[in-house]
Amino acid sequence: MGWVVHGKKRYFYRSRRIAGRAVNEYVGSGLVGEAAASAIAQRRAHRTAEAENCRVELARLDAAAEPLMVLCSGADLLSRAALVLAGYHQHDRGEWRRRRNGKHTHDQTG
Amino acid sequence: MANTPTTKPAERLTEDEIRQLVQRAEQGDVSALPALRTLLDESPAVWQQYGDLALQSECSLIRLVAGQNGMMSECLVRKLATMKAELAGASPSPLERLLAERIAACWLQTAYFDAVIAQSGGVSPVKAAELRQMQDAGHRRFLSGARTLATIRKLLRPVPSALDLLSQPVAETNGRARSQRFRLDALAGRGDNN
Repeated sequence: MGWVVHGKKRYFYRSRRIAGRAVNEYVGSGLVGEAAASAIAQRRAHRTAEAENCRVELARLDAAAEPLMVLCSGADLLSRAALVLAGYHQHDRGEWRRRRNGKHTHDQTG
Repeated sequence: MANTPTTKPAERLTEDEIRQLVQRAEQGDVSALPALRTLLDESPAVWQQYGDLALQSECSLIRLVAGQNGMMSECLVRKLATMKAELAGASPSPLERLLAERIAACWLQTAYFDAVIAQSGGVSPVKAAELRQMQDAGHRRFLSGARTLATIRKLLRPVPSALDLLSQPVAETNGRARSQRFRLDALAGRGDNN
């Protein structure tokens, strides 16, 4: 919630979540309020920096894995092509089965 | 409207075009089969392209894992080469070689994530969850690659004939000639009455 001004004085409140409800808790005014506000700002800056570091690190991992993703996708595709060409089909996203005689492939060009 | 066979050279097909060809073939369109056959059997450029990609992904992962450590980088290169040779086996097809390269690269990525997670004691819960998710995805890719190689080996390798089996050397030290004669007798339907 932060600073609240009543008349000529400022009062510092902090917002907390207790049992799922947001609760504003009075901390103090003057030096006490300043100290609490400063500590909260520092914690927030630290969390932001940590999140940024995390984002950069994960982006680095993603970038390093990018060629592998393309390789996996291509290898899967070529394997699939080879199996289809050999007369197999994938049953229900599971095992590869050979097509029965007469049900191999039918020409759709005609 | 009938599907017209593609007229583009097979080595210039994009991944999406190959995927469409495979889908057409899976749905029973035989006009897609010649292009697929050309792609797999007569287009070395395709295998070259994916081979380069495998090398690229390997280099990228080694750089990630080893960083500036040249010794570790060299060890990883050798380890991956050994693993690929073992996985591909003797006289592998281009597809088997590609799958072996894929599995080796996936193994390196998985091992890296395992190590990172083991050392990630003080990281934030959000980052830890992201890392675990990446580790799980890496494991799935690794297992999927191994399964695909096993399927390809099982279904597409030519079955050796009885004569091929008989002509293969047997790793026996004693009585080799006798056991070979016994197998020849068994094939000819003669019992060993001695």
